[in-house]
Amino acid sequence: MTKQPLLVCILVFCFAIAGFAQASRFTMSFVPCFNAQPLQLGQAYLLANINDSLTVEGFRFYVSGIKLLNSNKVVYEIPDGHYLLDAAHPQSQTLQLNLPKPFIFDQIQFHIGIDSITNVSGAMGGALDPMNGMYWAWQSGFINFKLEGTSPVCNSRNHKFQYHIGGYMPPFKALQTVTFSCTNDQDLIVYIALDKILGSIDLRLEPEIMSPSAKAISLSTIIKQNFTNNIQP
Amino acid sequence: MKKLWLILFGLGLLSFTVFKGFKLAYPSYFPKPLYDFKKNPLAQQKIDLGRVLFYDPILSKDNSISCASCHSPYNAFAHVDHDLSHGIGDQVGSRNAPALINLAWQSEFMWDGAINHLDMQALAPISHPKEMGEDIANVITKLRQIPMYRELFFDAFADSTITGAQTLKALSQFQLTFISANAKYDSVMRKKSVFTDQEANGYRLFKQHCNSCHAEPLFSTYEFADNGLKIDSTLNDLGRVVVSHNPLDSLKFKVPTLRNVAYSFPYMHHGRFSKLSQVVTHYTNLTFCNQKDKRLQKPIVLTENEKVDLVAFLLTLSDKSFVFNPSYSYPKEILARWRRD
Repeated sequence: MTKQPLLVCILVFCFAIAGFAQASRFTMSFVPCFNAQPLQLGQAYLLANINDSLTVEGFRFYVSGIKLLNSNKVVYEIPDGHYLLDAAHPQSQTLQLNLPKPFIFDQIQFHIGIDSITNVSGAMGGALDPMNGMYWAWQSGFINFKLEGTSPVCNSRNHKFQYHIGGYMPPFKALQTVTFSCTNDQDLIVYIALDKILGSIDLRLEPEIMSPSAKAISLSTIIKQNFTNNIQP
Repeated sequence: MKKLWLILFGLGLLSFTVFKGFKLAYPSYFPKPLYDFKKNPLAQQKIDLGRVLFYDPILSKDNSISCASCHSPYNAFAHVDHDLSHGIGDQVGSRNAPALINLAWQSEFMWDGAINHLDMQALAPISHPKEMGEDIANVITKLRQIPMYRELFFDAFADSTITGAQTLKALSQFQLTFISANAKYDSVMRKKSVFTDQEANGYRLFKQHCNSCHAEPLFSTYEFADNGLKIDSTLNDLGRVVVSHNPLDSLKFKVPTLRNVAYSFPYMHHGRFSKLSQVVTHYTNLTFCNQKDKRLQKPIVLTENEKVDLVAFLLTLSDKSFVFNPSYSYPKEILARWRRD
């Protein structure tokens, strides 16, 4: 009996060590899709609303401000987490999040884009380096979401469509926040229905949205709606 | 000898702010800088790198135009005799290259404030098709091929990779050293010199008519204001409204500093006036009742003599030690280390 407190102490100590050592990992994967199939850059797709084909040549976007929530309360926020996801580099679309300890959470929340404070914080490296082509030179600000390609229906030079969606200043703030239900033991997969996003735009009349504007805001809302955790054709 | 003592004494009065590796000196009567030095602590090697980049036409598409092409130190980093900026392939832009002075005290850049941070400013001229017509990613590709830059970046950042962020931060560092606080006006403020009667009268008129926008000691509030200048129909530049989308900002442009104004002609956002006397006459000739800006609704009445006095005061803002500062000039001593003869 006299040994019991000591045993308890040892057990507590072991659990504490285990707790410290047991940094946890959570994986978020993003799968851009077209007609419910993973996107292939450079492949011609038929888009129903234009009754013609289109090809996506590039698709990149930022994910930032990732928060874990439990019962609507933030339990952890990934510090300095700005990720540039690029369809041309599939490994960039899987985010391995290192958590200092295992958290219990039932929701995950993140921004599609870059928040306004980061937008006014000067030159930053890594994912935020302006050499990545996700920063507007003529008027300061990050491009949150960049989707480019071609379609014969576009009356633009080389039949290009270019959607560079961003803007951090009122009245044209394009940052969107999405929340998904999830569990700590199951990785989150987010599908992005690019056919639905492109299907919402009149590619003939609007092949380019490339500055902070009302059109950019409304497209950013459609983009947000098409980040989903299940995909249906 | 007496002059030397005055200069030494003046320097002694400057308050010294210590940043890692480099002391940025500015007078005690200046406000606190707005630039966040914690995110980009000044260091001599970074300033040197920024200086080499500032003078290198490699930043432009055809390697012909450098920052210094339009921002010459001898004109307080403005472009002498050019009303509008002059870029690659002899293209002419739509605005006057502004003087680069006391940039650490500004938070919005360009005539319309389209740029929100000094670090990001260089991206605008680099990528403008009528200025340098280049892409920052391509600039980095070019820099990475040059052994001198790999060494200079390594000296500055302990990393020879060369990134966009490092390039922009180094350019900021060099430009942050552009502090002008050693004009006759400053020596008068430090009580080391006195205005002539004419300058003193000009100063009185300045405080009465100009100071509300061109506020001392920086000689600008750096607000956006409509100074009553009629739109140039060949440019139709609406200014700030294009950035802010606020109709009240139509025809507003950033109030420029008057420091070194004698060196930085021509004047206004599109270089309409080449002489200071024309600028003064612009203000005295305004139709005051029509002015949007309240500060210009009261007539500015000056006699011809008073106009001359006012200009005499403006000349006391000329800082010779700024325009002829050897540490701002072409970096021949740094480049000499790599020159192969």
